[in-house]
Amino acid sequence: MAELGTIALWLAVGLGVYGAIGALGGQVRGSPLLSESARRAAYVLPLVLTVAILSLVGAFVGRDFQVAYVARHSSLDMPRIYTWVAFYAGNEGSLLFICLVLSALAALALALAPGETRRTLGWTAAILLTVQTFFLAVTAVMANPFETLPLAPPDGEGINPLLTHVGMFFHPPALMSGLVAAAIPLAFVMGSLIGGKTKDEWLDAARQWGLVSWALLAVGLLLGSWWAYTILGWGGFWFWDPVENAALMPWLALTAFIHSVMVQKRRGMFRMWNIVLINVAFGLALYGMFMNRGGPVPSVHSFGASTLGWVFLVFLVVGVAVPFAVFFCRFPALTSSRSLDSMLSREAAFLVNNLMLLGIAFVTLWGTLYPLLSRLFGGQEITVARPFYDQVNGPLLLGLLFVMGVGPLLPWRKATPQALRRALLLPGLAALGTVALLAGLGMHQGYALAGFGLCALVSAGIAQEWWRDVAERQRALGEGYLRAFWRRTRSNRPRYGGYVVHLAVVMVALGVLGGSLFDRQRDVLLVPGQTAEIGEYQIRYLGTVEQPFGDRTEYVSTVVVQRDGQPLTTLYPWRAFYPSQSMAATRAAIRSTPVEDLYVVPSENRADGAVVFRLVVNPMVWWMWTAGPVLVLGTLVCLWPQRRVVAVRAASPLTAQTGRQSTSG
Amino acid sequence: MSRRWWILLAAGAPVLGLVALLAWASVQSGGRPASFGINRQLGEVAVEARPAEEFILPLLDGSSISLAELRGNVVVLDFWASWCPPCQEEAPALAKVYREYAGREVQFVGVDIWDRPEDAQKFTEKYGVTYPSGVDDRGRIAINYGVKGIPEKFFIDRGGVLRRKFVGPMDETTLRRVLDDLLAGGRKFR
Amino acid sequence: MPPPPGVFDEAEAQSIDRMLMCPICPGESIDQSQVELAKQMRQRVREMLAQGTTRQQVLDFFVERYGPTVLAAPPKSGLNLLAWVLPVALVAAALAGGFLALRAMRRGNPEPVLDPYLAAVDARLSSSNLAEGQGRPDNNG
Repeated sequence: MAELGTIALWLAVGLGVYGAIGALGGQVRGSPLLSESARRAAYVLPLVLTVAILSLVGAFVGRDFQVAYVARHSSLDMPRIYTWVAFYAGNEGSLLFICLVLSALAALALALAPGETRRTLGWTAAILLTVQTFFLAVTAVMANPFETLPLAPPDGEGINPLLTHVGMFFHPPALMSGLVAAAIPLAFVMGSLIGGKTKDEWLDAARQWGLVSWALLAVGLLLGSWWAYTILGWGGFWFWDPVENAALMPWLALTAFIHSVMVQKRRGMFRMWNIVLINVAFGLALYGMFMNRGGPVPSVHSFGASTLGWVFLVFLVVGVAVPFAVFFCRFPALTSSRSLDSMLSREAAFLVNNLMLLGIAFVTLWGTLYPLLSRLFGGQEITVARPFYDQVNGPLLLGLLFVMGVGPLLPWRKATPQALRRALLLPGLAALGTVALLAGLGMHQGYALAGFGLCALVSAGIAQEWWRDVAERQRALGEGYLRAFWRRTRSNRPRYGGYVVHLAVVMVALGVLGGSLFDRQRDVLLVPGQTAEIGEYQIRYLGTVEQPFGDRTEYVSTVVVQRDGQPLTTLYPWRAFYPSQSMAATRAAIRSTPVEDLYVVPSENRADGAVVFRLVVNPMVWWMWTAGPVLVLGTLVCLWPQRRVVAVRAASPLTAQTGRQSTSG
Repeated sequence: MSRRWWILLAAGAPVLGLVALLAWASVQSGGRPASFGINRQLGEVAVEARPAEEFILPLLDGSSISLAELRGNVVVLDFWASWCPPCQEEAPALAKVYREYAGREVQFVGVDIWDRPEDAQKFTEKYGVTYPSGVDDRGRIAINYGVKGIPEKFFIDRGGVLRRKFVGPMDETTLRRVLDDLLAGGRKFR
Repeated sequence: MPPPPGVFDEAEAQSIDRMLMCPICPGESIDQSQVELAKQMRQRVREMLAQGTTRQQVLDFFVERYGPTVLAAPPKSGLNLLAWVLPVALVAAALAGGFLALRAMRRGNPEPVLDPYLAAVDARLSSSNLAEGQGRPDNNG
């Protein structure tokens, strides 16, 4: 099995090298045959890598401990379903996975490339294949998952128990895919620029693939938080770990990019800025990979000691320097076609949104680097962790929420006072009303009031716009409301998809506000039969059952929950001990409702049956996890292919005045 | 300079700085992600000479020992746990050196932390530990001494002043040298 | 770990927990970490609060023993003030710079409402939303 994988991997390296050189040659020498051949190499790559992946999966399923990677990350008593997780538990497997994802996405991107990018597609292909070759070569040479041991051990070391969770099935793959997918929009932009296409040729492709990368990262981040919430056993979901941050930063830059690219699409502005943004996003993605693979900052995520860090550092340098050099050379040709009409316009709001997103990314980067800086200059390492980010990024995130509420309400170009009033009156009132209501109910935390007020602003704004659009259509065409809603939404998917995503962000904001400002927490020691109270819940601990498994012993506690004396539910939180790794893992039992989560986790099992429980009440965290599917839905609406419309500009006001009015459509 | 060059400078300088910083940090950590304080430096760690914090340790045999009653002795305060491999590795050496120095003004105290008493008992029996050992149940002593990992050893001179600190397992030779030095009044040290 | 008897504010204790890193676990505060040392430190925090120790004294106690690395955020004093001020200043500068850049872009286009046709469109748009309703995708977004 392992031999097959090695062969496939090296074949893939060969294909990558051939494809990169072929694409370059085909483009430079204008040979369509060579270009086509190189592109086909890119199409074959995912197939070859699938063979490699399958052979590794086969080794896992067949318990082939001769393969070092399999021996290190699985064991006889590991349920086979966790092969999927064990697969990328280490550098080797995760790199192979990255290779597959990148090759598949790249093949898709090349096959679906829109017409405007066709003439420079050779450059794009060459860039993508070069990136792929890098990953393939690193995998084959430095982290080969198919390396075999001279002697097969009778049993493997087993999987890290923290990874045996449903969240782990999709969190790392989504994040890794999102990080590498950032290469695709960059390749389109760079391909066009190198090929001398300095207008908007790359726009659609870069927007679409930017969205794909963005959504993958978003889903990965949400799943990661969910995993941390249920398994790390402290009742929180995000703690600004350096590696979490490393995934958040490219996501922020991509968020800026997918917004600002709309300004370019509509108004032909911000072209240069968008190129900078995608460079920054890709650079941050590379930084994230570097941090993850041997970065110098402590984190719960690091893959552990490896020399790979250096390789990724070099890759980071190249991946930032080369695109920037291209940008620099093409600089004189990159001018935006139009200038701004008014400060009160959606264009201006988008720029503010961009700056705030980059600001948050910068604060986050600064926070991860400050310990190193203080060690370098002060001689003493200073920790930067959650309290710092909460205090500095908190206000920025609120500001972002504000821009997210107001921006989509502003018209393009210029807002007249009437238009402004019409757009902002109701959402503004909704926001103020929410704040007044909450303050009246006794909420006095400024952060919370501002946060909820802004959530109301965003939601009311979206509802108002959507409703007005639908009502308009209903009135104009006499359609039923449902039909009008459907048709109207279909007619401008990026817009309404964006609204859906914004709603998802509001849901996440609700969860973050509730979970971080209103959480209540207690650590209690309970003997069987004893009751503890948290909020209006009474938690009665009945006892713990010991369940031995092959690789672990699970201690499952039974906890009966009452609210105000009324029986509510029975929870079974557990804690497992893995003797082979002398490691414990917990699984919180969570009663989750839209109002609040009751979170019970055993943090210590005493020999006499007494258990230390951590009890947490987390208001509204439910909304955060529910936001995931909503976010995916919104992204799909944005991405769904739309009948292409060729825009024809009104040539000049003169033609309009003579009555020849051109329309788009 | 044209606008273009300014942009190059404005973007290039911070990026170069960033890369240099990351490279420096990678060299420092040897390509290995460091974790907070633990095992970054093995061997001797510099400490400020200050009066060692008083403690009362309940011992495994039921009695107890305090730092105050050991005044006049060189005290080796060893933090250990039964499950910790380096502690197991150095245990025979500690037991041996302790017996060698019997009758001189040297007292070893084993502080078992993050452990279970029954395992601690087994450990002392297995490795023939004869010096007083006890379980620091609530981590009071460990926190007072700022213990970040095990094994960690603190050397307290006859005047009750904290002199030296060693992280990680110690071999017999080093142990003897440090003890002799402190018995001689710590001349080689400061 | 059961809190010791004595009067203290559990919320304050938890906020101190979040300010202290667990010295032996990478990147986790003692509030999060479930290792023995973190539990003992949490308990110690509560004991100290119950004895009337102030927040700052508790933090100082741990810094004295574990070094400044034990604090979860840089102190807001001395050179470390830079950690707090610099990002805030830069973000403010970026926003100001963005504002200036926008204004410069607008200056380049001195007459925002430059022709009767666009003015007429503006007027129509502000009076009704009709132009958006006809399923023209590039109208808005």
